[in-house]
Amino acid sequence: MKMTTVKTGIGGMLLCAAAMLSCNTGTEPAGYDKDAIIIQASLTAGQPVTYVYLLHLAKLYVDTVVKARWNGWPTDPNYDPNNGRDSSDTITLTRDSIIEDAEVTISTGDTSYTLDYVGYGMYSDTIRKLVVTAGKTYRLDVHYNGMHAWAQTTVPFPEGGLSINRDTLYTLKDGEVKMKYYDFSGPDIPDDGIPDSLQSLFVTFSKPRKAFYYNYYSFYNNTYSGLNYWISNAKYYSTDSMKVISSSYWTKKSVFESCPVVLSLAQPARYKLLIYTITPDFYDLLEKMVDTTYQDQWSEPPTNINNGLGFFTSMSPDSIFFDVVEMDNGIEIPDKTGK
Amino acid sequence: MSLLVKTAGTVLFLFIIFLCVKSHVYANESSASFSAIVTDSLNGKAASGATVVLPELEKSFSSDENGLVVIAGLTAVPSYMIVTADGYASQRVSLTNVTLSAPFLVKLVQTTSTDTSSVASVADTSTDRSVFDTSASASFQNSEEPVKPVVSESRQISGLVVDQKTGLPLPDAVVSVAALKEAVITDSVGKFSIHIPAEAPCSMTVVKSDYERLTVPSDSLDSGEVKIVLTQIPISKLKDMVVHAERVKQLIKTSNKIGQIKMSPEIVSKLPGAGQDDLFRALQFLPGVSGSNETSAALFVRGGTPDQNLVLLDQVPIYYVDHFYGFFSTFNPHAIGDVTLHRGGFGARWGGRLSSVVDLVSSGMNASDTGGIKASIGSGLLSSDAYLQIPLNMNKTGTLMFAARRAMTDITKTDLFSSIFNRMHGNDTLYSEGSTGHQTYWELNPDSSYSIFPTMRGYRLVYQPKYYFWDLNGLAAFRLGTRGRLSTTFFASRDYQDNSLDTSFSEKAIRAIWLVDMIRNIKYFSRYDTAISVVNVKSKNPLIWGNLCAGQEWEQQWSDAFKSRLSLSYSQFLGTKTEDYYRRDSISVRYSDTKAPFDTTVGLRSGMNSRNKIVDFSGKLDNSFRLSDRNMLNMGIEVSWKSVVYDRDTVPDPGSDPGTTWGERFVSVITSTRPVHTRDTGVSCAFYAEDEMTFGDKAGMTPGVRYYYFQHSAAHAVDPRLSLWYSLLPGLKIKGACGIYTQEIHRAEEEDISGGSKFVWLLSNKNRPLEKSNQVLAGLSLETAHLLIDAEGYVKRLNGLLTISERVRSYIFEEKQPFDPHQFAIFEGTGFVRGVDLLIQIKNARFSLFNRSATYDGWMAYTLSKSENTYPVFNDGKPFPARNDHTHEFKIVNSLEWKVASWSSIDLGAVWMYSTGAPYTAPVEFFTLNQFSGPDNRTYVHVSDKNAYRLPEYHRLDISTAWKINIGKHFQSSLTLGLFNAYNRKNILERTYTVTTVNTYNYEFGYYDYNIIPDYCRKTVITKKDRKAMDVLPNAAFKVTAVF
Repeated sequence: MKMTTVKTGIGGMLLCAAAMLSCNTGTEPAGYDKDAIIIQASLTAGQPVTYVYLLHLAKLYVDTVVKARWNGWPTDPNYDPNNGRDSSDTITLTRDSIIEDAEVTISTGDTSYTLDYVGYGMYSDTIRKLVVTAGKTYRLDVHYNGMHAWAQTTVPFPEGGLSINRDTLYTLKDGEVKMKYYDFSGPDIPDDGIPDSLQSLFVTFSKPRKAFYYNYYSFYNNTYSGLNYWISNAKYYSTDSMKVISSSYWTKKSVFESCPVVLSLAQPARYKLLIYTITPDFYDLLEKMVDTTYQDQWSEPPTNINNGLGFFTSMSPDSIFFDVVEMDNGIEIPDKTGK
Repeated sequence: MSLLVKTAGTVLFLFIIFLCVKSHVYANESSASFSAIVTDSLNGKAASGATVVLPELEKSFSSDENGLVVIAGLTAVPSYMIVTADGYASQRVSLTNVTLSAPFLVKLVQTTSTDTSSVASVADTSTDRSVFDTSASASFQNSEEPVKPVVSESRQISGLVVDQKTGLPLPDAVVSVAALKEAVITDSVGKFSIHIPAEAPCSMTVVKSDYERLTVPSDSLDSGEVKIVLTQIPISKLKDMVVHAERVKQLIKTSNKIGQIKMSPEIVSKLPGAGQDDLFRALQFLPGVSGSNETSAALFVRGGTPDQNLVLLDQVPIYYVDHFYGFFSTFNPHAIGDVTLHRGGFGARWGGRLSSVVDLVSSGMNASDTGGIKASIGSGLLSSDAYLQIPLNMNKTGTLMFAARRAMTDITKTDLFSSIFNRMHGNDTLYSEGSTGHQTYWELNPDSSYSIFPTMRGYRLVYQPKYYFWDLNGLAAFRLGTRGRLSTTFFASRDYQDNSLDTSFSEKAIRAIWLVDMIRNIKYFSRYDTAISVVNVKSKNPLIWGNLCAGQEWEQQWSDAFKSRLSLSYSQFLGTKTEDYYRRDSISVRYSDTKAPFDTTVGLRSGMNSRNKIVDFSGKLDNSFRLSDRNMLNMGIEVSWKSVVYDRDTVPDPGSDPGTTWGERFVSVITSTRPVHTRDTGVSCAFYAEDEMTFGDKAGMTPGVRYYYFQHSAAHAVDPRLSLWYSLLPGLKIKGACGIYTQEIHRAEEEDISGGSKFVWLLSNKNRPLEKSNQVLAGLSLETAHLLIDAEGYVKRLNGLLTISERVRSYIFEEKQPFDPHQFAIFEGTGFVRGVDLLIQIKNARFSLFNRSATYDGWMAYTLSKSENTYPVFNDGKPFPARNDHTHEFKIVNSLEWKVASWSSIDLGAVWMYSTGAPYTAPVEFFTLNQFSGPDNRTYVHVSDKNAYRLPEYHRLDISTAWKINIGKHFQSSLTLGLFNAYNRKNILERTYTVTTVNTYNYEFGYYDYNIIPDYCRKTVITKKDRKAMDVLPNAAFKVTAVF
């Protein structure tokens, strides 16, 4: 082995290294992967078509703000107290990409209607020429930027015949900290503590049919001290409870009991219970959107849109009112509700 | 422009390779060259001044002071050569059956006044000599036609040559009867047989390198068995020869079989390590083995994944090889005596894996290597280790070996440890202050902007986890007579990390003033005076992983033609992770008026326990039948019982509820991870047969077949295999292999875009497929005494790959497939890998450096490959780059041994590597659904095609120097200093993203509460996090070795 060989070999290796370094192979996302129409539309039995909301995919890194962050804490990007440990960037989503110039039609049977754009990505039947009917099938078509997305839904029938066995609930005025609640069933409330069951309201059906439901309360009063209290001087306020979904499909009980509608019935108010009968695929969607155990943060919800994302659904509502009244030594305190 | 640069780079690269090859050819004037070492047959010392004459080519060459003769510049390989030296008999050495790819020994016999005959032996130092390889004895060539006296009667003398100290049989000893000019060589188990005249008084001389010459007088030679005991020459006398022997060793060697590379464990100490000498990190310097993954010492071989490697330690399968979060491997390099890597195309005797076989043999397993007691102790900045090898010499002979290594990082945290730990752990909450032990304290967050109130400060938890690792190796190898061996191997390793936290016992528990509940108690705000919140955190976070293995081997050579090996093994891998987090908030509100104080305590608990365990009981019987000198039939059976368990549970153990201890009135349990329980067990059986055939020295072929039955999958498989080679010219070979490979165990990737993907061991069952691979390999190698050029191409198709992805689980619902919440969202896919590996190696280049001898070894390895996966649930079923796909990977490995004095030497090592960046998946688009009049909107992030983007390219330079000093006759010390990532390249190992929703309302209105934040005040934030590789990392180690 001559030194010539060794030197040439090592020199060759170094030159090869230089050649490899000239190749820059790193790539980063910079915009669209591919676009898609996102439809959010629901039809409500007995009402005109008012809720068709259209978006298209917003581009990260383009429609967003990128800031330097460290360690999950908003901080000075030039300050890194841990000597160059993992750095990170944040991308804050600033706005949705609404679709303003789509051609939207809704049809049932042989009849077809074109919806008008009313702003903020919303399309509506502004002249109310189409009232949604339970039991009918509707098809929605969206044409935008060379893309065509469509879906269809059959409007379910409402539950109907709702009644309540006692239309007023009472709260005991007992200091300012503790409050106790009655429920529908009677006055036997323990003095200490608040049973969890009394904080929830169950909707029962004596003869359940196979259906999917979407329940919530709206309540009206003038004492609510939430955000509205701060930003508005309105006398009465309407606030919705958490929505819950329930299904009678899989129950084996003779009396169907919905998922509890979690609501603190602390506020003397007039309450409106709304029960929507919804489509099975919409139930599936809501279940996955609510239940985090079904997905990680990167999973996208199921869709019934062909060539797109989102959902086109329909529902039929029914409702009933009841009041919660505040009592002071057995005397009803008036004018605390919205009735 | 980029394409132009790449094209230019590729052209330049090929041009450089051409220059390199051309230069070598020019330097040698011809492709034919080889080298030999001329030694004295009696004492093994180098025969300096020897001359090698090639009469056919009319050339002659002289040996240097070490007896090395480099025969180069030949137009053809001669059939023989004449070796002469003063005081020695001239020898005629045949070259027809000698492997010229490695230096071979020529032993000259001194001339005496009474004996002018000669015995010359040629030993191929590159030949493996094991119980299973008796071809070694056939390499002996008596160069001269012996002049046999005509005798009327003769008697046969048979004997056994053994080591005086160890009692071990000595192969390759020359037994000569000078008067008859007759000589034989002992076989692999030290036996010989020779005929001498019945009545003639003939003395016998027995000679072996490193041993004292022994003459057996005539009257001691009776017909029948003779036992000859040779005494080893003391080390002090052998010093020159020991150095001489080391120099002819190759750091890496290829073989006739494609894909096979044999590595000398010495490479570990010669090349720079990542804070610790490591065998697997050294293997990553080889072509076809990815070396850019700092988070795992496991091998990614030719587009394969670590689970597709069959790692055998004395025939015991090892499932998990990572120590210290993968920064180095679990194998103590001192405990490993031999390493062979099969990068594909391996024979039917191995099965159950798709990509490669890593065959590790414990130090001391080959008992003939044992000289005396060897012991060493060493310590570095991460761990300390000890090694002891004891030869046994009782009625049975054998070797005992023990090796132990332990990190002292739980006792003394060095800066090196802290640097590596913080990088490898990748947890933002970890923070090292260089203090010792397991400590917990809180630190004031210097970022005051976190708080909206001037008097408030956010507090950040800072703690020091406890971490250490250890491993143990043990070997007891015994000779059973002259034809058998019994050995027991033990191996255990453990990594232990404890992130447990208990601020209730900390003297520095936080006591901060928080204005929590301010909004909730808004009606009392005007009377609000102070709210004091004391936070206590208890968490248990032990993370443990490791192996526990034991094996028993019995090798027996029943006859010259039949050998068997029975192996029994137990191998267990266990990885457990416990996260039990408990937080207690004690809130005390005091008012300035007469309102009663408000005190409450709430608890928050979350947890996740996971356990992944493999248990493998295996038994294997290998048999070899030598049908002829050129035909070896191997047959065997393997039976194993495997159990693979994966449990992941989010429910905390009620018995360990800290809330009970703390007397909480309310504990909220948070579970966010899906519980999973899988358990698969079953027996698998395999039968194999392969026939190793050679056709002279020109060609070889090994057809084989392996049959499996898997009980847990209720499936059969038949894997045909074929490998072959053909020698076009001396040193120039073409090689090829093809076959089908089957694997029953998976290590599935559990995709996690946020936290980085995890891996879970799973066993195939009736619902999980077997992994299958069809492979075709072809290669070409050119080897001379100092240069090796080896190029191999490969194509692999893979089926039955598994991946886990919760983000695409919804597709299952869409398709109305059955859903079991306690099962993974697991998907089956395929893979396609193709690539080319190129190796250019310079071997044993000797030269003078500042008037001192130096030896250079090095190689350049380049891999061009493409590895793709296809899963129906990703990318609309289109192929995408595999996670471990690196288009280009280039390595330059350099090792220089510089002998600065007779008692000291310096090793210099430098490795530079380059790799195309790893692919990753990124969020690219988003949309928002408002749940149709629901309480809040939800933003969904649209993820790119799987692995659509690439991290920046990876490259780094590692350098090291080791100063070795011989102290007296028995001791050697070495001080190693090294720099990992010497030029501080900011490599990125992994890129992840997290999505969080933040409230901006507090900035606008001066307070916030999640219950009343309007939607427009919520913003979704995607955080990109780059997991950086190690910065420049100095390391040091000191070691003392003793040989008695």
